[in-house]
Amino acid sequence: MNEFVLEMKGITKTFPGVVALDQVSFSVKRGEVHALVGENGAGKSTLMKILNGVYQANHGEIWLDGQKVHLSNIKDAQSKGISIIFQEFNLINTLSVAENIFLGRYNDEKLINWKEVRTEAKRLLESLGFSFDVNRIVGKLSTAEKQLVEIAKALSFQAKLIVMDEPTSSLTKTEEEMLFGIIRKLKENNITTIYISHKLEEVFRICDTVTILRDGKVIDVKPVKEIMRNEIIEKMVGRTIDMDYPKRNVQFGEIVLDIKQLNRGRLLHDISFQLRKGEILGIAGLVGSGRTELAETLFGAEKADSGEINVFGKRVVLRSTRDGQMNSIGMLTEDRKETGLVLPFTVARNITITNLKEVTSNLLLSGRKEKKVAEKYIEALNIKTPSTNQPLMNLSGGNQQKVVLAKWLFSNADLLILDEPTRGIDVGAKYEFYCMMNDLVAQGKSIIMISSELPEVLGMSDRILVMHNGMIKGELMGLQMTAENVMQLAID
Amino acid sequence: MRKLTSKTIRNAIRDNAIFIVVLLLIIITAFIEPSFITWDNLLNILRQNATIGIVACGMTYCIIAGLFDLSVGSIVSLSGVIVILSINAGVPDYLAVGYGLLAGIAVGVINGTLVSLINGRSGEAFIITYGMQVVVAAIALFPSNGLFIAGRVKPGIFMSMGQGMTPIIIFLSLAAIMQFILVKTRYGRQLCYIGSNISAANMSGIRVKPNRISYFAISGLMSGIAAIVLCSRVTSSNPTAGLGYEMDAIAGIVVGGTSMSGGSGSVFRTVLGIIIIGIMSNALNILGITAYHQQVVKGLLIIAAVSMDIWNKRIKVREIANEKAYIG
Amino acid sequence: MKKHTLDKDYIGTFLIRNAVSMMLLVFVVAMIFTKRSFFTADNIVNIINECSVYGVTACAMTVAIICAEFDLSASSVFAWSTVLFVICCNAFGIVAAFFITLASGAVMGAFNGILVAKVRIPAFVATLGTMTAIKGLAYVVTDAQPINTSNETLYAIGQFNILGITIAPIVFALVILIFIWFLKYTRFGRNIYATGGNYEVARLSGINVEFSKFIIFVLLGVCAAISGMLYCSRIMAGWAPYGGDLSLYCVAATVIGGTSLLGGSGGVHRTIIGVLLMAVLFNALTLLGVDGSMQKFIRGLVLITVIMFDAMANLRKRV
Repeated sequence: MNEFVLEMKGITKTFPGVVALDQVSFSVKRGEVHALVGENGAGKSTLMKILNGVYQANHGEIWLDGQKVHLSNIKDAQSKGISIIFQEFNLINTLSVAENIFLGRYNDEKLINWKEVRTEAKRLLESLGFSFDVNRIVGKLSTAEKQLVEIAKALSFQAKLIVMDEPTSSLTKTEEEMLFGIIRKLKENNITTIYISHKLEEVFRICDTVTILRDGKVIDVKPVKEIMRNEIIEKMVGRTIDMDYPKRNVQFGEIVLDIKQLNRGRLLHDISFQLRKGEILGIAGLVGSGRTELAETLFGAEKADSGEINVFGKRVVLRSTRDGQMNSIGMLTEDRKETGLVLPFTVARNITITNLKEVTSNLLLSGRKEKKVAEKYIEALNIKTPSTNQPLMNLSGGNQQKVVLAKWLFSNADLLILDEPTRGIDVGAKYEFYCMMNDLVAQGKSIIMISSELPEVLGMSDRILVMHNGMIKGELMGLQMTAENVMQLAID
Repeated sequence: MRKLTSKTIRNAIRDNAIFIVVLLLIIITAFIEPSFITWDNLLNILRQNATIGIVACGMTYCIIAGLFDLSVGSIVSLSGVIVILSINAGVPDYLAVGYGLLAGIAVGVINGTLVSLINGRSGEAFIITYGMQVVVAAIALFPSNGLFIAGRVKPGIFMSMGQGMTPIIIFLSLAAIMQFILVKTRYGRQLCYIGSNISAANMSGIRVKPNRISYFAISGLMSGIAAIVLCSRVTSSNPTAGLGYEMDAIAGIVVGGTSMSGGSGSVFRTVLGIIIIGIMSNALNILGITAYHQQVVKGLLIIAAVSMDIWNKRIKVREIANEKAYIG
Repeated sequence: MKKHTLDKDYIGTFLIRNAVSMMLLVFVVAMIFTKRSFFTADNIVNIINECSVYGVTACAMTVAIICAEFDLSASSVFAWSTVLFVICCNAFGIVAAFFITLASGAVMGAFNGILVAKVRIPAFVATLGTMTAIKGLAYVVTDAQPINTSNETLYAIGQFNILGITIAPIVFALVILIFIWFLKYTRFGRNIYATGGNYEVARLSGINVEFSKFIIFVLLGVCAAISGMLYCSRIMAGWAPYGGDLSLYCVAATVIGGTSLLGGSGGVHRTIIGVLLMAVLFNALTLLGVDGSMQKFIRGLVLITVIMFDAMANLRKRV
């Protein structure tokens, strides 16, 4: 039998304007636990989606067990023995464990033999080392238990290869141990695992080999025993910073935002920090570290359980986004399509919504004023659109994002929270965005920038707060602001 | 000015297809029966449809906001009963009218509060106002045990509201005001925003809950006004006066071209839709097609109009260049 | 493994979800002790006979709700079926009438199904349209007059009873059993649960979600037809206004029974409770001398309350 259960050769995948994967070769030995690491945006997810049949590569080949294969969709991949367990599980919460494992697969029999289904489900779980009531409703299970069900499901498909995407992100220490036990058991049965994770400690505990991706290229492949943690981090982030981040020279003013011991359920713990006028405060951290939750709480979209929020020296209680807006706070959300814009509306109407008072004359909306406002921002932010009346859905992502920014600029917010502001935007537009940010702080505004793109956080922030598990793990200033330092704090 | 390309013409036809079909029907009827197109007849049609028109205008706000209000018919019944009872009890005209309007607003507020409590979208609003329709209809029947209440109405404000051209004037003025508010005020703009993307509206600093309650309140208010015009014309109250109004209102809105999925629309279109359906009913009557046949037509019309709307949307989405947002 | 049975959250959600049925249960018990005529054999038989007619459609509505849809046109199909059945009985005899009516129910249901599953019109709008059209059709065909029949076979069927239990409860019981079997042991049934539980996941798992969304409406059409025919067997007439707020009744019964409007859970066996409770409630109200319009009021109130509680229970789940 072939040594390699999977060989992806020369995989290249492009999207409009972006090369996501560049000649990636990824080989996994049978029965091993192979780690795939890289920053957000490195290409891990794209590579796995190609493996899953969701995407098709532009170039390259996939070989399974020494045979060249073509994976056209998820079912196809599944039938060839590839199962992926994503962070958001592919389970139906209202159905039982047993039923989820055999979802949609009763086609061979006329009637369902529940005894068989239950027995088989039980057997699968026991092969992983767990005895479980398979009648339990999946919606009531803990994350660890749901994972178990997904793995059992993969086994029921006779999976040769199981990909786990950030499997321990919501697990307790005990549950993590459990998972590692399962992975070892899978190994005993010659089932291969691809382990995607940011938690390098786990990589060292459970994985045999590690492949490091960066900017769509494979940087290195090494047995875990032959590499050190710092080397991995260096290879994950080390890059020549291609982009020249625009410089600025701003004097910091008084404290505009003073947060004391903010708490919110299980999402935020004891958050305290300050923001000065003219500052750009970067907030880094992994997905799920609580950054967006913090932003929502600062804007008023969600109410904090306890703690103090002081804006311009005054203590405020933020119960709604209106409260946030009234306190000169504005927020650019993470997902502009869902919560940032109304796509069928025109450019002008999207911009003016935050401050309609400004475009009214005599209590009536003035089309003329709106047009003027729109034109002003189209010019200032270099938004590419044929007219102010263009429906927003016709614009490119970068320009849409500029409209969102324009919207908050128009609201005269002095304190802007930007959540992943340059996501999905090309390099040129990014640079423009950064220049705008500099202009804003020069005018006396203050910015909190949440970003998963390290170069941007490092290049634009005056200070960086690194979050982890809902807490601020550390603060970096001046020369301390390096990629390695950020990663060290962000990763467990 | 956009260029008059074949694409815009095609879009225009698709957007207004139902409209065009009904228009054709009317033209055909006019050929068959010329007396149909007399000024008198048309004014009469307008007058007859004024009340349902007012109700439809109110409901339009709800629909644009991505909500439904099926209780409008019952509100009309209830408001009418309250007004006539008040007048018979000796209450001055303006107060009686006030009570009727208040009742409509109150029911609207209750609707809005219930829906907001459960963060409801159109589905929840639909079924809750459906239940409310039954409840309010029953309440309207209480005072008179289902019988007509004759009104001891004296000439005055109330009396004049139902006479001659007044209903038409009220209908069209209200429609104009509502359209104006929709297009030209902050409130109206926020309405469109909420109906189009409620999450984005919330994250843009708009207070979504109170706004949504107000849309129901307005719908209730309009139903109240319609009730008053109706009762004034017949100087009595029929406790089941509003039966079926919600269907007619929806038909008018949908034929007018406002989308059932919310976010866009116009009161002006609703007016046209109501008038067109009114003329169509009249035309069908002339052609010998009875009320019940018309009900079948109305139901099919609603289905056809909504289907067109959905089909339209699908084509539009396909025509826009897809931007793939990827997470690497 | 952690056991998640009796934590505070669970109890809270349980209470909210079953609040209405518990209230009704209390009411029933109170009735048993206060009104003598309530708990007699005669009355109980009466209740069972009457609720069975509507119960058949309630079962089908439950299936639709499990698939996260509902159907407003059930009342119109019911009315139409009474009309069609009577006309056909008079013209072709009862056997032909039975099949024709059943077929017409299926066809109307199929129409709804296509609108919702293929054209993707939201169910409440689509069935609102068909409700109006079909009701209108019933009026048109009968010229708004009731139509009578004196078909002897039908009369015999209607009068048939064992210890007072008519044919309706027997049919109801049969329908319940068939549905329970269908939902539990066939893949179509399980697919309905999956589709209602999570459309996307079901679709990605290879389940024919469109078919699920289609078939539930056909089932509703057929069951509404059956309910209509059962009704005819007692009334010996068909008339357009029949059926009243049948759809409302069925939705309320389903949700009272514990099936959530969100979809993916619940079952027909639960709806039996809902149907019985509703029937008992309104029987009690009639015995207490509550008049028609007050009863309508309560019907509407029950629906709203039940929907609100269901929605609130669902809100709690989404932490």
